[in-house]
Amino acid sequence: MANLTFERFFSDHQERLKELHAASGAPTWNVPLEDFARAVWAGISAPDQVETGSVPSLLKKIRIEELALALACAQGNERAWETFSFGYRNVVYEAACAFASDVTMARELTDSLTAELYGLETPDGHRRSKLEYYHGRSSLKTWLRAVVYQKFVDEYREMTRLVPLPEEMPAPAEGRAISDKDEQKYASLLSEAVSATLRELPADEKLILSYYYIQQLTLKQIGRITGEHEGTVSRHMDGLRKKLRKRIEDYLRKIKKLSAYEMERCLSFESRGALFRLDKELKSG
Amino acid sequence: MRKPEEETADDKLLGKTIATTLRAQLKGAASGCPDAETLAAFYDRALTERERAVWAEHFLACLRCQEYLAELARLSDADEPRPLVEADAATAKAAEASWYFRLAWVAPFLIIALASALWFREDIERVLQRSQEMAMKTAEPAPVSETPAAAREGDVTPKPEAARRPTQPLPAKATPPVAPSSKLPRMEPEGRQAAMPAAAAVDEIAAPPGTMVMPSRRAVLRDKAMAAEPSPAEGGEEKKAQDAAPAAAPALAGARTAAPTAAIGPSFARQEAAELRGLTIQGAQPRFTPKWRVGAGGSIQRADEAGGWVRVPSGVSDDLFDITFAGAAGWAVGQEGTVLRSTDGGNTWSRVSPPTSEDLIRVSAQSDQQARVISRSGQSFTTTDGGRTWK
Repeated sequence: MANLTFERFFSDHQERLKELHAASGAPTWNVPLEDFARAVWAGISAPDQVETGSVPSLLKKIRIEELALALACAQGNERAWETFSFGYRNVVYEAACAFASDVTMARELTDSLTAELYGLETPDGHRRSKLEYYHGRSSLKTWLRAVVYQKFVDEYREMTRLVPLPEEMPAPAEGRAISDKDEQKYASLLSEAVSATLRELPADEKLILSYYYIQQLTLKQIGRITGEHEGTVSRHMDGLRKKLRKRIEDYLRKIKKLSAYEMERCLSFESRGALFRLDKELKSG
Repeated sequence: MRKPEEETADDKLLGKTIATTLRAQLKGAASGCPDAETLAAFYDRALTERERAVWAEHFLACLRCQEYLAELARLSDADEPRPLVEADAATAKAAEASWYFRLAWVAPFLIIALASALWFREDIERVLQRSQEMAMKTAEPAPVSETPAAAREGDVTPKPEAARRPTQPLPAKATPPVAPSSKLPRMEPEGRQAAMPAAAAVDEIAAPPGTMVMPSRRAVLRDKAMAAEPSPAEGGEEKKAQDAAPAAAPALAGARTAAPTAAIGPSFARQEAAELRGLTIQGAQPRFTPKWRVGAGGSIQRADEAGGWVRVPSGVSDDLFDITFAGAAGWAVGQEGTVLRSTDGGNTWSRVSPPTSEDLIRVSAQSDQQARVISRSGQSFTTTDGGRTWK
């Protein structure tokens, strides 16, 4: 895309752009063809380090109706804003409710972002709307959710506590606790085995483990990111956990030369008082 | 794979170790993170293959971007159908099971009926055709003098041409008129007289000469139907007719009873009735059903026939999330337990007592007294007294 300019893009694909302009409803919102074309161009002309492929296939993927609506709102069309408000304000509010610690914060976050989407006056007297940054590559709903989260992280997260409470786990059975010295040894061995095993894993498998163990997503939610069915993700995770377990055991047995008894101590919760220390490590990590 | 709540303590121990180790490995990885639109497009799988591969590489090492994607995945739960609370889910399941049970019971019979219909299709068509011919035959008048003479003379051969000669076309789907004995005086309403004798005449003709004329099964049934409402004007003649032809006498009254049915044009009345029941008749002019929408700041709007939106005052400033109607009864719900009710088709709205302080995101209603609302957390509340109390 480095050699293609907007002018060349517009002249080469004018007919197609006219079709898209008409189909998007942009004339209804009084959005001129050139403005529409510029917005489309901004969407498909990705940074140079990313190869963007051929223009016709990219044009097919642009969400033209949503782009036209966003453009009209950014240009101050009140009717378009009303349509946007009825269709999408709830998306913003729902996302805000998911992040905010209470309803008041959620409403504040929603109202604040809504004002930015509507358009704030800049010092030079122009109106600037956050909707100008939407170019139709994603759905408007997903884009709004990403923007809400970004705003929340940037402005509101510091005001709330996000550290998850440690999971409640039963204390190990009395009489089976091991000494602190042994406990440290086994915890360290396990950590080393896990670390070595994870380093050898392909990146996509590590990513799934990260979504599951760090982000605490459900299998269905992971499937939404990877584009797989929940059942497929479940099978992946199952196989991955078995593989991990086996490799960790192999590492402990073959490399660390642990006996079966020691391995059982290492991997079994009941044998250890490890969990409380593990929670501390998690908080500090 | 075991669900998180089913994981053993050993699984959880290993899981926590994995989480700690991974977090340590991913620390300090983020730079060159994508903007909101690229992130959203990645999530929507709208990037090209090459773009996707490049950004996926970045996300592998960037905890911050993983967090973004995780939040988008979590928010997408709102796009799924909301789960009912346990009691409602059980009720819904029971109702669904009941339907399945009923369907399962009926299904074999339906299959047999369908198979039989297909197997005996030709026979059925033949019978139907024959019935239609018989109906046409009874509808056509035969000259009165002819048939009785033929019968008296012992001519047992039916005269199909005479019997079937139409004197008056019947309306479509009309009940075929019944015919009394040809010996009876013509007292039927105009237009039906000529049709009358044919059926009885056919019945009589069927009997061989010298035998007692026994009324056919059809004649008996016909006579029973006629006996329900004898015409007062013809009481005398009817009595005479009964003496003369017992089977046929009630035919007068029955014929008169049947006449009104036949005289009604079928299309308009049925169309109107169906429309009133809310059915759609193909080809009938559809009634305009107004659309409604709710939104920020207590906004309630109704679509007009011209395609625009008309604002209706709600009396509240809270955001509204859902609206529904059951006839003229309207219900709308929104932020912090807001519930509005209308009893005049949405022209005016009034607030009712809130079941909760949570946001209410869905409402369904059966009447102006009965409605059900669902909160953002999935809790369900029902009212049967127009919103005064909730359960």
